[in-house]
Amino acid sequence: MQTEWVVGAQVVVTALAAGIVLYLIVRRSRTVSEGREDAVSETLALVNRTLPYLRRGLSRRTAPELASAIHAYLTSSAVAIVSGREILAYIGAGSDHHQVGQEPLTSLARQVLLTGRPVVARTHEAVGCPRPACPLAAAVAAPLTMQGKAVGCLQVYLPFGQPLSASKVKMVTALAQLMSVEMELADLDAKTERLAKAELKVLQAQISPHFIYNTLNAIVAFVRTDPEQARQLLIDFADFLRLTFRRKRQFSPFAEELQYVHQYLSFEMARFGDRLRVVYRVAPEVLSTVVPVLVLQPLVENAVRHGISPKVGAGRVLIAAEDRGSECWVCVEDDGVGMEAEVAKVVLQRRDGVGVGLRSVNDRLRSVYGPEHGLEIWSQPAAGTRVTFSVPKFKPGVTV
Amino acid sequence: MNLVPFLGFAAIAVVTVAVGLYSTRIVRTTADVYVASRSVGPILNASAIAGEYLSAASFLGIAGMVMAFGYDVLWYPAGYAAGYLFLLLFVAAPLRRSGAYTIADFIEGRFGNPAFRLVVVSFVLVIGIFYLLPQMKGAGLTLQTLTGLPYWVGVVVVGGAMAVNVALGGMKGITFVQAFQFWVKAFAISVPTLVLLALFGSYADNWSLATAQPPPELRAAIEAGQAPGADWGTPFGPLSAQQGAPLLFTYSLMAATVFGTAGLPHILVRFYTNKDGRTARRTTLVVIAFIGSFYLFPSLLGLLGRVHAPDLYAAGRTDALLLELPGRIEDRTLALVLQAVTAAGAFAAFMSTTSGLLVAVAGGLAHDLYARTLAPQAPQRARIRAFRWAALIAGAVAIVLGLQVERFPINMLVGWAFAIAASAFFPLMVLAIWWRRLTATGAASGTLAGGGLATLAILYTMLASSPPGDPYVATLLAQPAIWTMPFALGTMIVVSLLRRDEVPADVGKKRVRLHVPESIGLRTEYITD
Repeated sequence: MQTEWVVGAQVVVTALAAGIVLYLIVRRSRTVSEGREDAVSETLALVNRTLPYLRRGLSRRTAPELASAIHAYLTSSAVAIVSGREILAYIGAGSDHHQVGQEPLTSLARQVLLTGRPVVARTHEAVGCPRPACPLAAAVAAPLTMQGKAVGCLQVYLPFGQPLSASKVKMVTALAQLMSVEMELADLDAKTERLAKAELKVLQAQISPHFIYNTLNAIVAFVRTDPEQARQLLIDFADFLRLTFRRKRQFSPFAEELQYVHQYLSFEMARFGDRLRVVYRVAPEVLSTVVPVLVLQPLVENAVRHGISPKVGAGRVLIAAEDRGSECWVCVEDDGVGMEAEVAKVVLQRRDGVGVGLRSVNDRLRSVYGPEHGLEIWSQPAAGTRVTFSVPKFKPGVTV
Repeated sequence: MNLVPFLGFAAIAVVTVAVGLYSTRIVRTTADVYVASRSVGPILNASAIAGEYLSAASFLGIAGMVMAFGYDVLWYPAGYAAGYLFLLLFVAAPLRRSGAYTIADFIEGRFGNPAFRLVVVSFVLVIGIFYLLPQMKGAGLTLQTLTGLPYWVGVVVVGGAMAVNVALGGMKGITFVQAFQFWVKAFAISVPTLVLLALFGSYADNWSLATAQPPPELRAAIEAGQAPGADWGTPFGPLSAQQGAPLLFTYSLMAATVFGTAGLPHILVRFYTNKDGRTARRTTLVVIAFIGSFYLFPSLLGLLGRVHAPDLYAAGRTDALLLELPGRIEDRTLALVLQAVTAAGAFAAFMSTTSGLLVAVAGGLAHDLYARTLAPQAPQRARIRAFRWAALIAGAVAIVLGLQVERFPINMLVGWAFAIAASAFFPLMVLAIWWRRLTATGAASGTLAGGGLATLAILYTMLASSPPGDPYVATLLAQPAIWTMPFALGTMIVVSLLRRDEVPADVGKKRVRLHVPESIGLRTEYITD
């Protein structure tokens, strides 16, 4: 859902942050004796080198890689990355007592976490390590913030005697800002994915209330007239429910979706009897195409519930899939009551209870394949509704 | 011009369209029919693959080339069939398990790197165009033989019609259509061959007539230098000795045809229709049986042609042998019927392959170049429009170039397409599937080096006014696969080893997906952590 928004935001924010870094360096190096071009290209090179690690979020696994990249680049004596009350990574001098997993020992770290502002220490005392033999003498520590709160810090210690230039301070501060932005984005990504998964779960549960009620009513009707049929329907229904709740995967072959729809329709047909006719027109070439799970059934359910059910007399649902070169084209069509073109246009935008199934299918199609692969709806009152979409036959990452 | 053979030609066009329409119009009131089988079975899909594979080169070209050059040419059909063995052993099942549709898809999935797509697509275009040329020649020649119209009319009419057809949405129900066309071709080559054998005497009799005691007309052609002499029936004959190094030529030809099959873009996409890797393997096995049986007939026809239609030597029209030979029997009615049958087969041959190739080339242009690279946000309507234009452009290129290749034997042109496929894609597919240390840089540079060198060597042979003097150099240029394929393989290995740190981190995961049999039931959720 809304991945394009996230990606857009990511691009903008990263560009902004890189721009800020550049600006700071440029402005700084006007006054500082260091060559301006050198400082700019150095910072860019550092950002360039650390960006791949930043992308993957900050964890015990990625932090050491990031720390050693910074360490190697700045020829510092030590680099530490702290998150909350824990050292995520520590590279360089003093690693005998500053250990990963421990609480940070230095008063410097505590000070940064408390104030949320960068701190510069020029002496051993200012660093504040309780070990007198600790080789750490001069340091820059900059906060890592999330939603305005300092949740960690980046510390760069310099070898004894090396001057702590203003451009180094700015560089570390800017790098910490960039890391903060990336952490927030990684968090957002994770949230988005969790949301998509949650939505799928909701969808799986969504089938139940209406449909269970209607199906049970249909079976009740059979209990007296045709007990054997009613028994068979109940067995099938139990199987169907188990299948529904067991479908934890994100993707499945189109053939499986078709089979699932077929099972679903067997109950609707028991309910509607002669009033519902279903026609399949499926090209065998697309049966093996991998599609998001539950991409077809909500469309069919919609056709039955909102197209055929309110209609007087019999109705027909067509489920079609065609082979179109590198894409697979899918269509669910009914000759039911239909709706006004303006209503059809906004169905996918509505945020109330109506059309949850359609919207979820649309959102998932767009987030998996891109915005140009969403649902297309055509409808006319008294003529019926047609919902179509097309998906590429192969997309990296979309596998069973 | 006689109307009957032309009717056979027209009938097959109409029936093909009808089969396509019928198969897409099939409607069912239950999903069971599809879901029970879940996919096209091995025999149907093998028919479709054979239908797409047996082009004008196999249907017309091999018989004509056997007649023109002798039994040396049998390496072509042997290699064309044996190529599927390599496909079966190394490529078919892992390719299917990867879920990829095209070669470019497969490579992107394997390396998670879309940049490499353009390299792959450029060779899809080169191979596709090279393969289209002989189909154009087949079309021109067939119409010329049947109606007496000039060569260019057939090329323009058939090429244009196929391009428009593909642009308008292509053949519907492609699997059924291709399978149907395979059986048309199998019927149209086997029945006339058996009838002609019955009329012209046994194979042994014809063999001695072709080699030891040539009939007067053939002897005249041999003496005039138009037809090869006694070396027609011996190994290392006129074909492989053309440049003066017959053994090298033969090995290089074998390399091209045997390795080329596993790199043909329009054939590999057909495996997507299989249900899983296991059925992909079974399909390939059936294809070998189908194609192997098919190739018995053109070689027999080449022999009959040498004895009974030697006038084609002088006219330089040996490629039209299959269309001409039925006319040499006494019974006029039977001759016309057989001509109608072979004309129908020829039409099926260039129709099925041409549309498959046009779809592959237009797909490469529209999907990989336009939709993936130039305009990634293009809406569906724009993508469809791009595909239509791409099909028309590909058709126009094929027609223009097809007009230039009248002097090359049909089958030799296809052999060259195989040499490029063998050099560009065979090493790529095999290493990407079987070697974990292959990197994207290594794969791309090997593909470019092998495919590029093979293309240049062949273009030089086609365009140069006189071949180089040294027989080995000339042979290596005319049949480059023997050195370009290993060169591509070596480049991939060396560059990959140099760029060791670029090996994708998830290569183990990818390889599990490619190689674990379906029966184990491994799913993504078990592979991902």
